[in-house]
Formats: sequence, structure tokens, C-alpha cells
Amino acid sequence: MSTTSGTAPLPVVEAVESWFGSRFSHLAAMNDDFCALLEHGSTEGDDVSRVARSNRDGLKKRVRRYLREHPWADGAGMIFTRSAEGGRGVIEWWERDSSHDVNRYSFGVDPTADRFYDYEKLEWFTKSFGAGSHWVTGPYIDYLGVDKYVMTLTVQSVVHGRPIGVAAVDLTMDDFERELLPVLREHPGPAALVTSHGSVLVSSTSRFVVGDLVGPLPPHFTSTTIASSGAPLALITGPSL
Amino acid sequence: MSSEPHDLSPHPVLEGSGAGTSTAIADRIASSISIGLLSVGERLPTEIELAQQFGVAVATLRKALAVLRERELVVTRRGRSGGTFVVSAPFPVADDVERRIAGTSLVELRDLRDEYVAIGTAVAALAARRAWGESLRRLRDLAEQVVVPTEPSEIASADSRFHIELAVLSQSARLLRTELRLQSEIGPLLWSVVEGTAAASVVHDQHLAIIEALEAGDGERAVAAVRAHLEHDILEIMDAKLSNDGATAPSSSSTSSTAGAS
Repeated sequence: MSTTSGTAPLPVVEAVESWFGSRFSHLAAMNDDFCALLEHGSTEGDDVSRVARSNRDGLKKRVRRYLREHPWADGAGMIFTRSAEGGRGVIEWWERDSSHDVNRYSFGVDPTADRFYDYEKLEWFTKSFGAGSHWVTGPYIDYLGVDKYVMTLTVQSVVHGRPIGVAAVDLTMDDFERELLPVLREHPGPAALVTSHGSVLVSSTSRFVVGDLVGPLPPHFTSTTIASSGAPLALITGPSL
Repeated sequence: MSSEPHDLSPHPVLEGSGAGTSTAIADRIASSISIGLLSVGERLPTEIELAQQFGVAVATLRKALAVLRERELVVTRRGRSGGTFVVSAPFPVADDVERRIAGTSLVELRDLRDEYVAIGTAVAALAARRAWGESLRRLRDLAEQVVVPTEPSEIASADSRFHIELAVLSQSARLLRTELRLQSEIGPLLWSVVEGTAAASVVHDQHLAIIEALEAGDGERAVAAVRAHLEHDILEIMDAKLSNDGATAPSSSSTSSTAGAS
């Protein structure tokens, strides 16, 4: 209705901004609690794997609360950098099962095993752990991980002044669609949310399909950065038909 | 190849309930997985059913499942859709391979090839339009792993891992499930009949051709490269069957060898 100037109309951009803004603030709040719990349970000289195990019950209680409060989240937890080259990975992860119970999920963290989950090479880990940024990764099938089609929101975890890993929350792509499609459909024209790699996360038009990379924008479409997502996501919007 | 119902224990002659019995049961189930009678993604029958099939107590059967879990061949998941699932195929022993290949007709092998190529090419086409970020660099790392080992069992798992990653990059959960099953049915057989390191170097070149097409975002070229690669794989198994059966038909693998399709 108000697409005449060629800039994306404000309401849908604001709505998407606010969705990511609130998800990241809840995730960051949980991460602050995680870091405080671990800092309390360990000392400065401890290596990462010792820090990681210093208050498992505390982490568990906090994640259970988070998952109870955020039904759109499929799983959440904390993933630690491996302390030593060739050392075992440490992942404290909880996910909802089909009967809505929360269970700890165990991953292949032994680097010498066939089914090792080599998470330190994956974007959701490297971006937040290495660069310290909030990040949105996806969509991807988390093979050897939770084995679902998901996207992941991450923030860096710092304990005793040094980065030790990331706190993360997964959404299945179905749940993300349930959350965001109604928002995009408030926009009178077509709209699609894409990552910095050009992958479609959700779209209100069959012109763009989730997972596909978008090429050059069709005529009269504009792209607006979603600042609150940390990762430079963009909302592509077109004129109403 | 796994269309028939699984009677995992044609001869339930096991006796006793000691550690030996549960290991023997684990070995038999592992052997069924290794030759594709049970494939990755499949759920094992319930503990009670399996115990009946093997003619042992449920407690003994549970120990056998624990052995399989320790060998990372199965995982047990809780919840409503839980159960014990096959997650990885062990490398088969030569006798099992020979029997399996002798018992599989050329018609079945062709049908298997048809499915393998259909899924493999679909996966490649989707990966070409969906692979993002560093994922193709990781695929290249996996391709390089195929020429590192010398043991056929290790080459087999490196080769499977490459194909599974390609399916992961397609972002299709259904196609990935099918690819996992196909890899567990085909991989161990293939690497049992070819000459390990020579074949691995041919496969390595074919994998690189696929990656180059994907890097160029050229779906059609990726599909053609995958088709050539997969058809060649199944021809190797067909040729092995024909030479094992003592057939007089000329075997293409003896004339063109593994380098034929590259």
C-alpha cells in the first residue's frame, strides 16, 4: 500500500526486527545466567571441560525454564570449545520430545569415533564463538547433531573473562514458519526473509521457497537489513499485486 | 535390496544366556546390517520379537543390543516414536558378501541402480541451488578423506560420508533418509568387490567433478557427474556377480577396469 518510494514498508520490517530482538534478548538472558552459574562453580585456572561440568544441574534447571517459557524453541543449551586439540567435545543440550518432555540430548563428541559431530567447524559455532556476534545460522539439516531441519540462534559465552563457547537455541524450520509467516503475510505484497548467504528462511510467496538461494532480485523488489538479528538478514519485499 | 521381511535368525539354535550368546546375537544382527538386509534408518523389531526370533530371554537380547550400541551400529531413542534404530553399517565379511551377491539377481541390482541414480541426481540438483556458505569447502574436505585410508572398510565409510553430505546439502529430509538407506545397502558391497585404493582414486576424481559443478552453481553438470559416478558404482557390483557366478559373459570391469567411467 505504501511501496511507492521503493524503500521497504516499515511495519513488516519492524515486526520482524522485534521478533528477532526479543528472541535474542531472552537467549542472552539465559546465557548470562549460564555464565554466572559456571563462574560460580569453577575457578579461573580451570580448563573449559572442567568449567563446563561445574554446574550441570544449574544449567539444566535454567534450560528447562527457558523451554517451558518459549514453546517455539525445539532445543537449547550450551556448546563448549574443545579444550585441547583432539579432546572430546562438550555439549549440554536439551530438547523437547514428541510428548513435550524435556530430555538431555547426547551427541557424538569423541573425535576418534565414526559418528563424531564436528561442531567447531560449523557456522553457528564459529560466528558467535570466534567473532562474538549474535548470529542466525540456517537453514540446515543438522546431520549427526539433532538430525532435524533447523535454524540456530547463537550468542557468545564468556566465563572468567574468556570465551568458552556459545549458548544456542534451535527452531525447526516448520516452527519458524508458524512464527513468521503470519508476520510476513501482514505485508500487502510478497515478502521473504533471507540470510547473508542468500538462503530463504521463510517466504510468503512461492516465487521464493525455503532453503533455495535467491538470485538477483526481480524488478520492483527491495531488500532491507534486519538489524536486530546480529547476522545480516534481509527482508525482501515486493509490490502488492 | 531390503524388501523381504527380516528374519534375522534363520537358525535359532543359540543356547544358554551368557555373554557369548549375546555377542553371537549382536554379530548376527551386525552381519545383517553389513549386507543391507537391515539398512540405516530402519527400526529393529521390538525386544520381545527379537528375543523370540533368536529363542533367547529378553535380558540376553538386551545385552546384545547394548553390544550393538557400543559398536555405534544402533541408537536407542526414547519417547513415543522411540525404539532401536540402525545408524551405521559395518563392513561385511567376504563370505557374507559372496552369498549376498549370489542371492541378488541382476534385475534387482538394476532396480537398485535406478533408485540410487534417481535419488543421487535429485540430491545433486537441489544441492546446486541450496548449498550455502562454507558447506562446499566441507564437502571438499570429505572428498579428500576418500584417498587417505587403505583399508576397504575405511574407504567405504569415507565414500558414504561424502554422499550423505551431498544429501544433507540438498536440505531435503526425505531424500537424506533415502540416501542413508541406499548408502548402507550399497557402500559395503561396492567396496568389498572393487580393488580398494585404485578404485578410491577413480571415485575421488568423480567426486571432485561433482564439487566443481556445484561450486559453479551448475546443477545440470552436477547431475550428469553424479549419474556417471553412480551408474559406474553399480556396474562394478554387477560385474562382480557375473564373475563370481562363473558366467562367460565378458566383464566390463576386467576390460575397462575402474578407470572406465572417469
